[in-house]
Amino acid sequence: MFDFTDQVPFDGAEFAENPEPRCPCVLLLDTSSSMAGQAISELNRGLQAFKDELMSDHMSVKRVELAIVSFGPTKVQTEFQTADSFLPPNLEANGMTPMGEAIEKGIELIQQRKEKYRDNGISYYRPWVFLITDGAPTDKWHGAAEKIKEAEGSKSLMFFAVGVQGANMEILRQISVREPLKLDGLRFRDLFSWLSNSLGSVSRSTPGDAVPLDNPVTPGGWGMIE
Amino acid sequence: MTLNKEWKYTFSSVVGTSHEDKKIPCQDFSLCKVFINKNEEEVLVATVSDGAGSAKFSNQGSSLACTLFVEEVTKSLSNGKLVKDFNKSFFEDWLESFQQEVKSLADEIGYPVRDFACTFLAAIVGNDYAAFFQVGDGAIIVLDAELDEDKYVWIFWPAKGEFENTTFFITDPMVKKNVQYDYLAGKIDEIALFTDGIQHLTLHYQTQTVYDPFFKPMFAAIRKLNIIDQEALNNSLANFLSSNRINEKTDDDKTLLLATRRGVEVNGKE
Repeated sequence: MFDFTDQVPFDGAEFAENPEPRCPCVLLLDTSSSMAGQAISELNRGLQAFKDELMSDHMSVKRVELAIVSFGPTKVQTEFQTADSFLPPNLEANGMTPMGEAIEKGIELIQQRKEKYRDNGISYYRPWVFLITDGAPTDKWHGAAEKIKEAEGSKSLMFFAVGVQGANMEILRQISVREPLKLDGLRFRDLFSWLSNSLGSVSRSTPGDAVPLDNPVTPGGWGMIE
Repeated sequence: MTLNKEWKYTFSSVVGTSHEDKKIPCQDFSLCKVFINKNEEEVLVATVSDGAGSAKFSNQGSSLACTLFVEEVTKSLSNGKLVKDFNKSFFEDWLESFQQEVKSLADEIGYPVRDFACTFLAAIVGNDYAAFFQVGDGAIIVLDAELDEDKYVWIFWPAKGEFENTTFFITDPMVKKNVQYDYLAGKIDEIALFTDGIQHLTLHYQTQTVYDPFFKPMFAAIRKLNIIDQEALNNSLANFLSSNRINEKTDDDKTLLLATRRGVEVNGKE
């Protein structure tokens, strides 16, 4: 007979194994010749720190997936992968600034990734595209800007643009729906630390959550509005 | 032949660890009641609701939704309504009256209706007919009556937007386009409702099936009970939902409601 002083044993339940939901992020990184010298080496250091920060967060390491496209010329440096298998590339600066092509490549990578998620029953968060440049596009970029506007309009991705010293902020403003930010000096490391935190917040959000992002444009923050 | 036994049920909503850390109250709510209508038919009314994380008063939204729904169904049943009268238009009318209630509550304290956002799942189960309603994620699962072995099937796959952190709420003025309604003309002996906090432990996404090893031992435990101390039973469920095993897998609020009218077979007899 059941004794009410005892607990009913519900702990026999076994749990379904489902893959973690993923939070895809594409970095579009300007590696044109103007980035040569200190800028590119700070960027490389920033990427290493980015990996370390993602690894140190138990949610981010399972959920954030990173792809990198460099432009000058446009090249997929790493396909989508989680931080533990991500090897930060050693980027070298040379060539032109085919920003339009890189943006379109980034969008294409995201579409392919989403298909893969759907095929495998993996749920996902809204993808992020994060562009960093110190110049102006040397190719046709209006088509890419149009695609970004469309994608933002249908809420299918979030696009962020960051200009390093020398960037054409006027054009970035025409590409990005969100106000582009100006990097303070070469503080790539702080930028990636912010990005890691922000992706961490997204990757633990549940339905109905407004995901609060720290404002990088504060005294001591890495961002500036021109 | 299974005899018509009385419903035994348990339900619990517990706060997730991420809410505890942020000192946010449990925003999930659940309620279950058995009503006997004029034809001596036992009708089970079961509801669960998940308040939106960012909505300030979503804990009130979810509790209001469950309470008002159970009240409305109980009232209709005592006015002679049959289980099959609880159709889609009944639910849409109820949603309208719910939204009005929320509106007056929101106006009173000077906050927008959006601050009461919550999902909603409900089942009304009679002897040989059951109706199901759902807006948003979470799921309702039932024991498949067609099979000899115990196998559970879902009524609606969790309704999400494209992304993991988007879903639908009953406070939305356009809620009607997100209403899911279905019915089963047949006998249902076992049913569970749950919110999204545990849906990745109870459903297998790739095959889009119910994960039976979760439910079988839970229902087995309730089938065995001869007498129910409702509070003690709900506490047992709450303890399970707040156990480390569960909290390792989810930091969200979680709700589970289980109801069965099966017993344990002894020597081939019930």
